[in-house]
Amino acid sequence: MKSGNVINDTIDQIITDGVKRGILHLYTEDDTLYGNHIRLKGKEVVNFGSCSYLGLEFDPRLKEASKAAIDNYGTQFSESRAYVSIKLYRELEELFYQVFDAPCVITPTTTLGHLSNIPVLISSGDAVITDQQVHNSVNTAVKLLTADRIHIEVLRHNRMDLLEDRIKALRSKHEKIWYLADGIYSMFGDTAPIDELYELLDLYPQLYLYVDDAHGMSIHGKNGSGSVLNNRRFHPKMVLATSLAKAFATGGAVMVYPNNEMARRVRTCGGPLITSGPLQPAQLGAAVAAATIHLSEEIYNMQDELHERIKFTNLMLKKYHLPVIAENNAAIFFVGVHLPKVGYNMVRRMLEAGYYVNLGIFPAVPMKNTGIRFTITRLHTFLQIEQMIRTMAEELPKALKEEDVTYKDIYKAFKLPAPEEVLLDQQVGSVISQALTLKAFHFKSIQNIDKNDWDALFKNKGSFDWEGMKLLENSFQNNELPEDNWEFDYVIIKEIKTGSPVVASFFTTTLWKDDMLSPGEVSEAVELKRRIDPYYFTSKVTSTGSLLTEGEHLYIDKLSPFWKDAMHLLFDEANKLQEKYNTNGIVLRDFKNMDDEFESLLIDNGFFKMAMPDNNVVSNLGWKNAEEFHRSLSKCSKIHFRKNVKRFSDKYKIEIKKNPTETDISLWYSLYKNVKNNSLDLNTFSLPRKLFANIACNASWETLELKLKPENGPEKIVAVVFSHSEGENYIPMIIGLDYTYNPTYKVYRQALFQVSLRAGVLGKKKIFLGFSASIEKKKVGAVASPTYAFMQIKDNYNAQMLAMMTLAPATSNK
Amino acid sequence: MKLTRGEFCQFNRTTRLQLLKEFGKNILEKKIRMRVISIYKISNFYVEVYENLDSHQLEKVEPLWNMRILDVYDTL
Repeated sequence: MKSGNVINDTIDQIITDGVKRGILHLYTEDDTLYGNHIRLKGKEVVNFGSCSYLGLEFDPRLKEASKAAIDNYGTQFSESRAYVSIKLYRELEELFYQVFDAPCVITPTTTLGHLSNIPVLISSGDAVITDQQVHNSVNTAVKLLTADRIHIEVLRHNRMDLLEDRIKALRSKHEKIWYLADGIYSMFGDTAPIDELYELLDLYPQLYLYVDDAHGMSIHGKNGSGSVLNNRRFHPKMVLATSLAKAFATGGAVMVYPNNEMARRVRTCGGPLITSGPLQPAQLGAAVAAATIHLSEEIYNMQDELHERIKFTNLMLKKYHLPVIAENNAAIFFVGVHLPKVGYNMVRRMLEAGYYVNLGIFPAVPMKNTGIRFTITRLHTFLQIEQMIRTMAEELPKALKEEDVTYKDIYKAFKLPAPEEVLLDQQVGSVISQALTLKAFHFKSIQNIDKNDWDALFKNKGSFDWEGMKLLENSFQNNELPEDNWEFDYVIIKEIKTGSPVVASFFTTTLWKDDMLSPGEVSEAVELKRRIDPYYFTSKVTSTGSLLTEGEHLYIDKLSPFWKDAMHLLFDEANKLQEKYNTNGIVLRDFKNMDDEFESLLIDNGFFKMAMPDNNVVSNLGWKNAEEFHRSLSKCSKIHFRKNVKRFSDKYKIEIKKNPTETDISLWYSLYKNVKNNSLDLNTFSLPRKLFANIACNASWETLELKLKPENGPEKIVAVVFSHSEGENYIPMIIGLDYTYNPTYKVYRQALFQVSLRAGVLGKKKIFLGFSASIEKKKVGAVASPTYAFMQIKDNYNAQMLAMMTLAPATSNK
Repeated sequence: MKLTRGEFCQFNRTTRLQLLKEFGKNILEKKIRMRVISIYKISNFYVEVYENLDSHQLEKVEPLWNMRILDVYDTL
């Protein structure tokens, strides 16, 4: 499954969950609307979700102008603007020229404005740098640039120091470097550092600024021209896109340019301006009336009234000690609640108390940065604001308690300093939690866990039974390279009364390549960078299982009534490890056939789902020799077997190698490195040589050597497979190949066959053939199952960068 | 809602009056020549308001620092 589909699955699940809980996809039930009350689910509530910050939607002048436009021009004028526009368009464009003191083009929506601007203004020799948090509508238009292989990269949010570095690095190769940002960011309400950006624009001739000021329009600046132009000139290297569907209150958008030529070019060539429908008379009429207000002194009174409410809101949020993410002068506020489950809980509570607020949730914000987003408009009374915030302050502790989340978790997730009283509450909380039904046991080594206890949970689930873990610990500790040193942590959650394990797993913490699951061509580009910096795009990750093992790493006794509580304790333990090792992510991996309940539990707790490569398993092994194996295959695979495998079988000598010499191990390691260097589809660090030496002398493993018997000359080892052979299943974990002989003697296919045959001879139940190469593995009877991981990441910058590289792999890593 | 005098003074006159109407209690109102003078109690302090009846302008919305003024108004 493609990763995009999985992200959509996660979004679908989150939104559907919100719909089921009655907090998303709502409809108002009022026959008429006025002011800031709306009726939802039979209850009148105060609306704290409106972006109509000045409350102009109820202004009689706009309403009358809208009605008059319909009377004069009908309900629509259905012609492309490339041909004819109604007179009101010209009138409105002239008014906007006065508002911005710059040429403008009106578009039906801001998104269509970006789609008109970006592919026209940005040329193939240019580079694009997008702010990490720029609005999704801007990114939608940027994706179009990938067809022209334009260099695109993502910048950490508002980091002007890094922007300057990138300008210096890119300026010799690109005519223009476009930085794309928002004036006011739509979730947290923070602003772009426009003054610093203007300084950079003045300093670097190559830098151009493209800024979406949708949430700043009308509420700031001369004539309501927005937050970017608030006390600033229009920069000659800036393009401004702004919305008329927020404080301006009419729908539509306006694009503003530093010169007529740029405006003309977009007006002429912008795709949606040629092929999409225009703004309709009702909107145009209202927009002319709104623009007229913007050009009067009245706009400043309206701005003042809103700013006083913003100031009051900031004050109340402080007074009630709510975890606000950014104090700002926008009309958007974001109170962090950490996990989606708390967000759902709070929105429901607020609705019940008579306040509608927005849920700020993935994908608009990272999973663990879920929050309550609310907006203030000029229509709110101070009393409404105070009562809503007071209610939020009263309800939040209840929601946190119900969802087993603490204030400290919130402050940690948003990297905010926790107030002292929060730290004190946390200590009290830990004392209380000790009296619960379950207890988490944590071990640093498998040697501290009873062998029978561990194997009762994990034997035959993969290669991580007690002996398997011992081998891993011996191999991935005390090594020279950081990536070869893993932290091992074992967590068993037991019921206190019975002592029975309810949930158990082991975690390894080590360096991962961030492009591990990216397409091969992306990894190829990243590996070029790693020649200079071996740890470029790498992050420390705490994961269930390890980079070497596969299988059911998480034991859950779903018959226990406490399994969900136990999972919460496991999340707590994982969070502690993340803090202890300062890792960027937590990964719970190797899940197949999950039920909705389990998936919801993970998503509610801030994990997002991602696809791993398909996992290949051969089941029903009923063969003891090559003939029987052949009979077990499908018709197509039989043809393949005869043509590509059986034909060469007598050229090989197969040996289960015992007691290898150092020379043997060195040869095996070089064969393994051939495979490692040849495949970037699952891009990991190389395994240490020590592992191979340990496997060679471990009774739970066996080493299968394939030697080629040429017509003349000595036998040559062309393949080696290391398999975990203890227990019911056969698990080939590592393969080494000499690719020189692969085209002629189909070495890889022969190795797959020999492994399958060996597993059959040993009477194993299943063969776990691992990830990737599903087509080849299918030919020996493997069935590929979609496999998923769930991930929480603190910083998704690298992930965003890689996503952009996936769109344009050849250009984005120059 | 608790608001300190300092916090109250961060707002402009129109907002101050609005805050008084929404959160405060009017404890005195007197018409003196062309002005309406009102005293409100909000949180734990008093605020003096002058509204000019001629110009319909708010001339003063300031916390009272000297409480003896209340006695003066009582005598008027």
